[in-house]
Amino acid sequence: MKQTEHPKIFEDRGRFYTINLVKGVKVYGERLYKDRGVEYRQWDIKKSKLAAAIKKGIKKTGFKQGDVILYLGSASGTTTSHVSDIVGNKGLIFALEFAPRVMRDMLFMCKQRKNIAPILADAHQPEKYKDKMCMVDFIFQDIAQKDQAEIFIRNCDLFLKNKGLAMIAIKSRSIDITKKPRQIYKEVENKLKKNLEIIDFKTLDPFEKDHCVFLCKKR
Amino acid sequence: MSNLVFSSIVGTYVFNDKFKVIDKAKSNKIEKLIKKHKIDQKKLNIEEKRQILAYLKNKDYFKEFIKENKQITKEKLIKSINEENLIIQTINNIEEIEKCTNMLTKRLREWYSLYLPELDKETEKHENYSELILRKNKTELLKQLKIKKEQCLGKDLDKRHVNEIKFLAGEISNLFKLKKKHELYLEQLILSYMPNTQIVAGTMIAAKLLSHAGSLLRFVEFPSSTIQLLGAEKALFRHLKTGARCPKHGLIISHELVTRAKNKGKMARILADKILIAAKVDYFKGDLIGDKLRNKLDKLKI
Repeated sequence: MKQTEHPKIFEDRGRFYTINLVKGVKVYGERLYKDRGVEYRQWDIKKSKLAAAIKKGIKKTGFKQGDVILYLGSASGTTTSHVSDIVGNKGLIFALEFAPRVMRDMLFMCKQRKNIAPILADAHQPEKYKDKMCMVDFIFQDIAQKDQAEIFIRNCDLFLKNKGLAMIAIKSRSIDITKKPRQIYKEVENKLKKNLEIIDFKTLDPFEKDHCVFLCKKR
Repeated sequence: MSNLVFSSIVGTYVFNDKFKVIDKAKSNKIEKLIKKHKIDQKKLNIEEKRQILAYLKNKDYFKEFIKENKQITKEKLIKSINEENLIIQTINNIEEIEKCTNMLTKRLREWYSLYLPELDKETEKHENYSELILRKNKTELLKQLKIKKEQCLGKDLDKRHVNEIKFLAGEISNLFKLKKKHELYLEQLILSYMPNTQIVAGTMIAAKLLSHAGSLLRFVEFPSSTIQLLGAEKALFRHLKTGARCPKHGLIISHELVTRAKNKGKMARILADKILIAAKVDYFKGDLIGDKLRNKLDKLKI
């Protein structure tokens, strides 16, 4: 088990692991692995876009132990659980999700992990949930919406600290299915450039089809 | 610059012009603080909001944020469950039962045909098939089909083998009964929740459309062309991507007016339009106008 260049993320034979925050408990049926008395959880590249981005060699993950994170589109909490492992008990994650059905799974997870604050709200309207939040160190967005770039910018404007990093996962198919993915990446890049500084860009093939991630920095 | 007030779930705070907290109270006491400090409640600009949010990013508040958010989300979650969800679950279950019975009856037909193959061709309806096997034995069935025992192509199986097949037939006919029960229940739900749509589209189509849309709010926000093509997504995206022929109807193809019409595309378009009008009235709990819409549709000759 080797420490990668990213904080609190470990690698063993091409697979990624995080230290399990709640010992002996699986979140989504992943493999648990014990090494020298520490319990690790395997981070499935195919189920998590963040893990896929790391596998593709993104420069930075952008968050470390003790950080406050806004996770837009947490769904049932697959990736969120690993982020929760990384920030640890001193950190805090605001997990925002719009669909009640998957929020239910999320709430069950929140019972075990004490560093997640679930918010059931629409990411389009940051004004409506600003009273439930505070400033954050890092934003991760994974929502397949047509106007996901605008949503990202709006949330970064209000919640991201100065010089803070943020990552967005783009699903080109839900923006416009008739256009080529590369063309859409270009359009999104131009939109993001106006408000944020782009640090890194990676496509997620072959782990996720027609997806890419942008790592941005607030000016 | 005057004082600012900000209400968060961890509490209400009054800030001075240097963003220092000068007073705080519980989150529901905002009125009291406004009166006490004589704050004129203007809209905060984005810089002010950011300053305040930065103040709240304090380890002392983390536990409170988690606790309050959990509570609020829990309440919202319970509140979000309504009649819609019941309708969607019921219609999905009906569709799944249909799939199950089709699959099981196929097996039943193969199995029973070892014993009496002639029955398979004679009874087309799955429901009747399992019922017949349950109610009658081989001699009775042969008599009904007017076939002599010597001409039958099936082997005379032992009673314990036949009984096993009959158990399966029993389960299948139970599933059919369950489906009927669900359909009655669904009709009651739809009649109370979206009566106009029920009259125009019929129970099953109304429920299927609702289940496809996810909620009545999303349903009524669709343009009627979307409703026309709900359920034909695959063909639609193929059309958009490759320029293949455009689909003309989705789920509403099974509507009697569309099946009867000569020009199915035209009928589907008009029907989708009227379904949407009815659904909008249902969403705002308006009067019963379904009959009028339905009459208009029935008069059309397309």
